[in-house]
Amino acid sequence: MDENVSTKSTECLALVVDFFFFSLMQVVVFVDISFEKATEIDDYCHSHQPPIAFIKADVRGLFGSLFCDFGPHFTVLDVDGEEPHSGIIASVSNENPGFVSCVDDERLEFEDGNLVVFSEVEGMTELNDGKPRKIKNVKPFSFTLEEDTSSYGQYMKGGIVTQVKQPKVLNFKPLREALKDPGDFLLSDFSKFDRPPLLHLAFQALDRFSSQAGRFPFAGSEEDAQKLVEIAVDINEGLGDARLEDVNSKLLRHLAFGSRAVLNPMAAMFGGIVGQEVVKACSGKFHPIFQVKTFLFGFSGAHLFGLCMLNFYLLSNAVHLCYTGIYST
Amino acid sequence: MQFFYFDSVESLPKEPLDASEFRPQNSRYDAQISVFGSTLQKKLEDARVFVVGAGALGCEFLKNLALMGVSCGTQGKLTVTDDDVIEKSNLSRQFLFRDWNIGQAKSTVAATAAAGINSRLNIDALQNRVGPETENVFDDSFWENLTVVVNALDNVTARLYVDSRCVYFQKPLLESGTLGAKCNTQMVIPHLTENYGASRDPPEKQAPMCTVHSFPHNIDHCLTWARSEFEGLLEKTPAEVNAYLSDPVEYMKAMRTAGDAQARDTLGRVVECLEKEKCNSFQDCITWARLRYSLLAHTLH
Repeated sequence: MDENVSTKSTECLALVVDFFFFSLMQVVVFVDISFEKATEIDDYCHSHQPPIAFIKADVRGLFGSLFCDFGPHFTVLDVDGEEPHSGIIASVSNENPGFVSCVDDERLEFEDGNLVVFSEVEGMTELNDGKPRKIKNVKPFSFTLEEDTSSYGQYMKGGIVTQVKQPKVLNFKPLREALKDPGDFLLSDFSKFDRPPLLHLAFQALDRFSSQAGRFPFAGSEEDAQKLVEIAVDINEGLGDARLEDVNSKLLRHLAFGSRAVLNPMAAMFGGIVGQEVVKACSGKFHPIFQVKTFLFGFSGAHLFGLCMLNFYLLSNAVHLCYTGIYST
Repeated sequence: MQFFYFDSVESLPKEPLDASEFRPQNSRYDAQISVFGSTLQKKLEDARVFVVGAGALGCEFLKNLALMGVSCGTQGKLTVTDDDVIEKSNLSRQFLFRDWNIGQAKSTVAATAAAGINSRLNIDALQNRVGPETENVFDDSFWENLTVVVNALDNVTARLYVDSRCVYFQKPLLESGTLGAKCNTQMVIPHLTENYGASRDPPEKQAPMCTVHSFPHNIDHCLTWARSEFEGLLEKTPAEVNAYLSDPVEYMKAMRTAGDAQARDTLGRVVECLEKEKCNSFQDCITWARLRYSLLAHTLH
């Protein structure tokens, strides 16, 4: 038998054994695997019933990359982990649509389209049925229902209105598709808003470099850095409309030089992020790395962002200070 | 949005370094040296660092500093201080501690563990709270000798104090904090960034005490009221009673000199506890609790 064939079949067999092992898992996390192998495994995880959450993380010098695929229909039960907001009712009108006002010692923190439930309402007891109701025209101390309350009992007193957390379904793409069409990126730094597409390209180039050369670029080797730039340019040319105008060779050079180094603060930070993503995959609590809104919030108000960001900022800044800080002093 | 990329190229030295800087030295720091150069590695090793606090953040920082080789050189020194002792509930996140460390000083145990990670680490553990009252320990020469300060604190007062010292002595400060799933971090570099105290968080929502006591009308008020009632009945009054019992003469003397309305109130409660509502057995306690409950939750309403 041809030697290549036998190697190939051993590989296939190994993969089958691996897949059986993965099928026993809820989440699998991969570090240091090629995109080729990763796509193969992710295809399996994505189409498995029930889907197996797939996470790929890599740290190369001062660069890090993370990919999540929690399956075609992943439900987030609680997007932000915050306590549901509530208010105390002051009055409810008998009209179409019903108008609810609340006591004015604390502003309501609802948003249009939120679902709420009523409890302990006296008089208009129809509202105490525990059914979630959609609200609109939300003002600091009032909102309207999408419901005709004219035939209900007359409001007397009391009542609490509480927000109901709405589950959210996310449709993750398999790695194979996401690589070609990554969509929006989760921004880590607003001063680097153009960086993610470049890094997306750069990490693919690095992956191709290592599979072609059988190793990562050497630190300080201009030759290796040049090779990486060439690969990146080549991949970029094939992107058609999604092509980047400028392949930043300086940045690629940094990636090449540091690609063999795993730095402790980077490992700590990505360890923290991955750990948090695993918790999200298993619990359905907190929004996974998937959507913009939660994260933007996290930045602007310095609130509302998952623990995943904890080690991330703490430690990236720790390295920052210990490296650049000492430089500047 | 399934990809997340991060880079910290700004951490690199601004000026290009000579290729010899990156040459491996067959040391545990070779990866770090290959990125930042041996000059920076030397600086890290000779840094004099002050880590304030050895809790959840403190443990993370000490581990990282030890792994990076910070304060592991002949000139380097790391000082960590924390006046707290280890409790069982700390073990879920303060990973330098083990269950046999319960009851021991956090800073000492954390320092020993960090030194176990890197035996070159020159670490000094103290049990002093950092504040105006310990300026004899953390004196001018202590501050002047520091390279960098890392806060790992759990309260704003101490943060502001350390910040003010850092401003005074022109030392860079790494500030961070966590709350549940939220966190923040800030880097303060003298003459480059604003300091920690320059911006303040908006005040937290809090019910005014007078509302709580006379008209607790929403759930938060009621909870605050109940807490305050609980503390008064089961913590403050018993403490007063014990103070009286341990030294009645001294206690009476102190009360006489205080002589304000609050002292009268306190005395009233002490008398109540020792005379009218004195509990001698567990049964008495149950009776007392039942009557108190009925008074607070029923009669008064």
